[in-house]
Amino acid sequence: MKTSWTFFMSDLRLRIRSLLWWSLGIVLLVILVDAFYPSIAGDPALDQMMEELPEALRPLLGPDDLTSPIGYLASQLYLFFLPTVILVFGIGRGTSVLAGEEEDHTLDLLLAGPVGRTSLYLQKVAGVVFGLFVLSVVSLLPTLLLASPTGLDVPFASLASVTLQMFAFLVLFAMLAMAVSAVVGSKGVGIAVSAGLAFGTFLIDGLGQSIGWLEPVRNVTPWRWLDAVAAMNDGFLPGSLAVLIVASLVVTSVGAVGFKRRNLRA
Amino acid sequence: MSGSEPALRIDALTVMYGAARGIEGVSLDVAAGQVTGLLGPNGAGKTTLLRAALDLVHPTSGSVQIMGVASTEPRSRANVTYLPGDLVLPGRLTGWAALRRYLAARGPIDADWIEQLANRLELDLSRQVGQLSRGNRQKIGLILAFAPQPKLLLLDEPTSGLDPLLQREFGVLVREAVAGGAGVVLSSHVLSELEGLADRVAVVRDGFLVAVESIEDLRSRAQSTIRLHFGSEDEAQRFAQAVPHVHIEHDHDRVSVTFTGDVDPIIKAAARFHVRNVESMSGELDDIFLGFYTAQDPS
Repeated sequence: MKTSWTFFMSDLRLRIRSLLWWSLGIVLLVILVDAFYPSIAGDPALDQMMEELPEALRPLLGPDDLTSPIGYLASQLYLFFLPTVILVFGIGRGTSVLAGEEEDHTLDLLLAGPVGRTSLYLQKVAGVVFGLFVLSVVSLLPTLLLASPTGLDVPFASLASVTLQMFAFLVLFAMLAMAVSAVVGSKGVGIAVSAGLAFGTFLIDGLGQSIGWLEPVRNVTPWRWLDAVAAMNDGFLPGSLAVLIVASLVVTSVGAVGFKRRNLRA
Repeated sequence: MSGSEPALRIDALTVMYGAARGIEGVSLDVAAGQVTGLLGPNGAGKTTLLRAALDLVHPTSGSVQIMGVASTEPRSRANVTYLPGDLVLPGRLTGWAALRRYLAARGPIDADWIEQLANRLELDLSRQVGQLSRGNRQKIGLILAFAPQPKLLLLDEPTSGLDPLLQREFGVLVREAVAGGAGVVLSSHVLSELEGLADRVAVVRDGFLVAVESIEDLRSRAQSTIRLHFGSEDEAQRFAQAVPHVHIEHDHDRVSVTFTGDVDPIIKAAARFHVRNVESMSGELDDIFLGFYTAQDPS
């Protein structure tokens, strides 16, 4: 069967305005976070406060040096805040594109045409991934462009790598949300499962850094492979990136097969 | 019809929803240029049958072919269009945008032809779907079904929400499609909706196909009731004794006669008296086919 991207394009037209608003929101959010940096840069009080925290809590707040540009960006943006905000978009889109349309009774009309379920699934995947890509890229721009006024002059490779890691991380959770919701046929279940897992694995990852027996469990949490601090310090992280990509591919395959086999609700 | 492919061939189709039965053991061919009515009460399995033909629900056993192509292959749907029974379109889209979205997979659209259809149905395609009445949204559904000029149309309760004038225009559209060689399946829970359109009627009940008959045959077996209002009580009484019937109710100068087949013998019997008024009391399907169903029930 020839691959056609008509529904990807149609969805894009339908959603482009919402994507533009999200982009604007993300840009403003990052500008806001960046703008606070000059007021805490080089302030030893913050680092001191971190040192006084119980050791078990410290990893939840990010790296030890909150006041360096990389420490600040990692702790205030990339370790939790920015991925979580964009995840709201990712989970929302992931669960709307198939399960949402099924619940709205508009999926029948899409599939009544000469398009296979797998093809539709992949076109919807492309739509969600494209949205996450756009938001990831625009989230990088303010920090890059405002480097000199804010003093957040980190190497481009650091920003590019952490953005790429975050993008792959977001894709994984969005694909999870999409797969669960499409296989079960329920937007709510997809949101609950993926948001629950995002939150639960965040805790495991954070606590695993200080609680010995939890340490090995960290390896199954996507947050471990987001690896934001390493990405900013070391640049491109092929290993961590590969873990996220492979996991996304597995989740998407399972989702596409499950969706194909299902009886859709009228 | 040897040599020419049926537009739709359903062969021993069973669809189960887990343990619940959708439809069971249904076999039905719809020839090109033929209109088949799908008649049954709500929940009988009409919609399941249509959605199975589109592979929206998968056969548990049996098969469906559209123009000779198995329904499990996406390309089979290049030849078929579908109007869902509860049509929902994204409210933010204009009529045009909705048509473009749902016709997208079928290749370039013929804007002139769509414009023509919209004019015939008196529909403004530049308005947002969310601002349209139910009847006007249904018109978009009709355009979605008729615009691609498919070989097979599966229309689930297509005239719901349409006023009588537009129901007539719908009839014209169906006849044009049929003249062009398309097969049409038209579901309804009311026999009268199928009259004048369907060449034959497939009766579905509780997931089973209980009969495939011409409208005339069905009518002849279906029960109807008319109520006659006579000039006097005496005339009513004498009429009641003379007329052939299945069931009769006599109330002063009024007589209700339930009968099968032609109304002719009743009219002839009544003609000897002074008749003030005649009311036809065509019931809903459930009433009309009550006798028919119980006699034919295979379960």
